[in-house]
Amino acid sequence: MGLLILMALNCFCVMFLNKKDQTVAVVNCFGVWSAFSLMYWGGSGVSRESLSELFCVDIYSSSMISLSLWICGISILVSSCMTNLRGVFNSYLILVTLLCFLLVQCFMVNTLAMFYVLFESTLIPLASIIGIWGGQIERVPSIQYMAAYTVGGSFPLLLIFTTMEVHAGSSFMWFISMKTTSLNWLFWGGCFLGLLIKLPAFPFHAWLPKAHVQAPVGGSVILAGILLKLGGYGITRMMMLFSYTLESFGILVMSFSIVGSVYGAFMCLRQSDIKKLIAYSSVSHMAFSIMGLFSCTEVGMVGAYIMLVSHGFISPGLFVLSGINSEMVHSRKIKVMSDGVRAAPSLGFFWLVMIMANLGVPPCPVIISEVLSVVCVIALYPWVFVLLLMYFILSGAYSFSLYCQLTRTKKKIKMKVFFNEVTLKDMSALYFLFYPLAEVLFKWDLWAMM
Amino acid sequence: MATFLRRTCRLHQQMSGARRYIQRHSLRFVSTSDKKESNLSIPFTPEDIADETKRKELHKRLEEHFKDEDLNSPKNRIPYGYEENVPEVDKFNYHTVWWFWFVIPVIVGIAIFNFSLNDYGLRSWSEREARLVMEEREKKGLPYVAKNYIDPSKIELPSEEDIEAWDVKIKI
Repeated sequence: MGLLILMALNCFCVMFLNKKDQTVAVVNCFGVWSAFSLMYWGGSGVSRESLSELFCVDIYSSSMISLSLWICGISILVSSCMTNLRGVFNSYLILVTLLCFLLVQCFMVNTLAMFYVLFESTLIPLASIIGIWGGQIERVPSIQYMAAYTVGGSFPLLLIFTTMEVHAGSSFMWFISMKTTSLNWLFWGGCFLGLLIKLPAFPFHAWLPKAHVQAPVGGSVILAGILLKLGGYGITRMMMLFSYTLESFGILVMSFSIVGSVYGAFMCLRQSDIKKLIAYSSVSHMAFSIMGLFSCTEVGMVGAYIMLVSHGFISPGLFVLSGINSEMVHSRKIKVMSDGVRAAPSLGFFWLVMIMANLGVPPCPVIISEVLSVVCVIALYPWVFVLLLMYFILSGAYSFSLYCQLTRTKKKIKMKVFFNEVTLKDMSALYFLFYPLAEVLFKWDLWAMM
Repeated sequence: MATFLRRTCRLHQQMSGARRYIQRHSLRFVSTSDKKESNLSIPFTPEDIADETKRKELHKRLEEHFKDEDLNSPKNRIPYGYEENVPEVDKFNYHTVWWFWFVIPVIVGIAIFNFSLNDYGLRSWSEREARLVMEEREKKGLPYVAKNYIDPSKIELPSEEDIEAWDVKIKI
């Protein structure tokens, strides 16, 4: 609650600054809010500061809250190219701050009904961001896809929460516990479909590449960094409700996610558009989170959350880099972007670091989550290792291919490139997205304390 | 019929080719940034480097541009990216962003994660639990650590005849 009051007070103070100073002031506020949100982290259970009548925050919520504040601040920091594009930039600040406000509340609320309302309400600011600052005319169908998938998929969830409120009198998630032994896949599907679409899980991922391609840099950063994690968080809370008794439905979802990881990696191999490639790599990484979450084991939950948090830093980093690079050469094609890397060789180094982090090269925490998720899945069905091996080979292949295309392409297209297109501000944003991974690496067992 | 099919296929091929041509040669983004027309940067193309005459011209332009090595002159200023026109505001914003995004989170984060997390690793819980168990075992007269967790005399195992009737599956 204190965090929300602090956010409201800071926003009120920022309103009285000059329009030019408001951008940096809001960015700095997000840094302060992120530091403040660290108080909510509890080593085990909940902390004294994280409990109130309306909100209760444990390790899963607090990690997502800190991530939301960090990512929303970064999205404003990297959106300077949008000041010249169209519209009023201050409205972008308002939309991102509103979106962050909704996200923080979403991760803090005690009742599932409020969680659903806030979950759906995050769609409106994001659709506005894509609609106003999106690159091309195709942004309209991409918003339609995103809205249809999200709202349509989560409508059964609304029915379930409404039924829960009517019959049980409350949807207070910390007290409700349902044990069901009857196999009713319609019920399980209704509970998890909307959340799986948000993650996104194969085969409900079609909206994500379209949304990412049409979104501006800041929109892609928020979408990849935190909005996808809403699905993972929701699944965690639903699991708590059902006391981890999914059984066959969990195995079905895990099977789809294993295939989805291989599919996502394969699609990355054949992409020429950098944003689509990063979107499909998100699909394959989120598949590992799904495997961990639906394994109904503690090891799986730890692996899933480490992936969610690490991916929340790495994927926005890739989008920031693609934004910097594509702004230099005015194209999203990977081979054309190599001209930008040739003009600013430091970009080649940043691409290498981010691609390696995305691949899961130690000491990046992604390797920990991949190992834990693989352990969970193989404990159930050892033969699944064949598919996972295919995934690891394909992910190495597309990462290597991406780096080679960015740095070693023979020049066929003549492009004009300027040296001063890469600013220290963008480099700072990349660094701010990378250094928190060290904290995730050293304190990865925090998520194992529940 | 055959002619119709042939014409349709050819038309489809031409449309696909036209679409591929447009995709390859159209610009995806149009920058409206003022930086493009700025005289603070020297634009170059790959031809400028490949062709010897053009390379010499580019050298001349670069030498002319960097003749003035005064780092404090506005021409040679490397902006931080926050403010193009006022260097002091640009530097101030750069430093404030680093302060609020690196210094404060690192200090506050280290302080919280190392000194004030709520029973990190369940260490104080395990110490309390150990003392309670030790007290209980002292009252019962048992050793603190025993080889058997449960008293073996209290365990009732099924007989060999009972086990024979059961279908036991051992999964390795």
